Amino acid sequence: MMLAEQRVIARRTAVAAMGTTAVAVALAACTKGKGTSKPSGPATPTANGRSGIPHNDASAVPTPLGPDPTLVNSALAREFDLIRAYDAAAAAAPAAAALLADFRSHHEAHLARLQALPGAPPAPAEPGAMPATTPPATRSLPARPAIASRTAFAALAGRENAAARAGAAACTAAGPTAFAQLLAEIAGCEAQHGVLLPTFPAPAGR
Amino acid sequence: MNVRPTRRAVLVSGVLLAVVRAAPSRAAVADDTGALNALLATEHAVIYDLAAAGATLPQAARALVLAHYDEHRARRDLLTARIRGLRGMPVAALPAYADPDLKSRGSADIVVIEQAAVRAYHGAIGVVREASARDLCAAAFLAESQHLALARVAAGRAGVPVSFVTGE
Repeated sequence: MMLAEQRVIARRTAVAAMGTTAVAVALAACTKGKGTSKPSGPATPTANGRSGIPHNDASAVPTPLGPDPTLVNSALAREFDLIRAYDAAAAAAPAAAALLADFRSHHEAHLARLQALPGAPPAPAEPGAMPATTPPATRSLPARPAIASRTAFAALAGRENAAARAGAAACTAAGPTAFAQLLAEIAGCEAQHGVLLPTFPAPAGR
Repeated sequence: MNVRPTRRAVLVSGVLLAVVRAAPSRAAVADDTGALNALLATEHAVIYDLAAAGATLPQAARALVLAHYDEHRARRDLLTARIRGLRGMPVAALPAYADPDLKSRGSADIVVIEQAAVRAYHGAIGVVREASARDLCAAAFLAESQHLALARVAAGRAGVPVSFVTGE
């Protein structure tokens, strides 16, 4: 059975807790708008006024946000890593160098977009040149042996798929932001590389 | 002055706040449900259009479309389950779809259909908040990007895609 004093304390506890929680909830509500984009309203199957495939992209305009530097640096590290892999593959299979250069150029474009983000590390001195030292978040990679030409495309495809998966995870972590959409675009391109590279004829070996 | 009530109050309020913060707001859930329903509507249309466009292709070219068709159906089911998980009402498929962008050009139409799916998931990534729904959208975006790349190759376009998937 509850004593009178305990009842008072319990009532005080409840009242004080409600008051504290109300303030905390109000603060949480105030901060909720930060870091989230303005959501679009529910779309309907005929949101675009016709009965074709709904074009949902037009309704989704997330607010631009300053991206998480950790995610930016990780994304940069993945791009540097892939560019190095393409250079190694081109050295191992010169006959495929022109094709590989096309794919490599996509990663340079990704790098440029990521380096243009606020808070990103500065670009290398020469456009397209690799930095003399690895960027801050890049793990130190050992020098890779030249990839045998026969397996060059398969090895690259594996790296591209791994980068795409990491990019998708980063995209989830970035929340509903324009940065998340950029990460998705980059990961999507890498997934495309990953599925296309094995379909090309094996380059002539050296 | 006895400090026990204050300490208790802080503890209790901390627990309550954690519960409030962990549970998405009703508006956020409603927004996510709306965005996922928009994706579901897209998948309904894509499934219909792939079947219609795929039927115009020669037998040898149908394998790729059939594989993509099955993946879209699986994703439709995932979206339906996720919407139900958010206590939403999954949108039903329309009896038929007539997309003016589709010109009965066989493989070229497949590219148009997959582009629509890619754009839909890209848009959703910019608005969906709940973590597992974001995972679903990100994974679907990768899969749709690959569908698009393979559809382009099947349509005889250059094998090398562009740097940013939605830029096509």
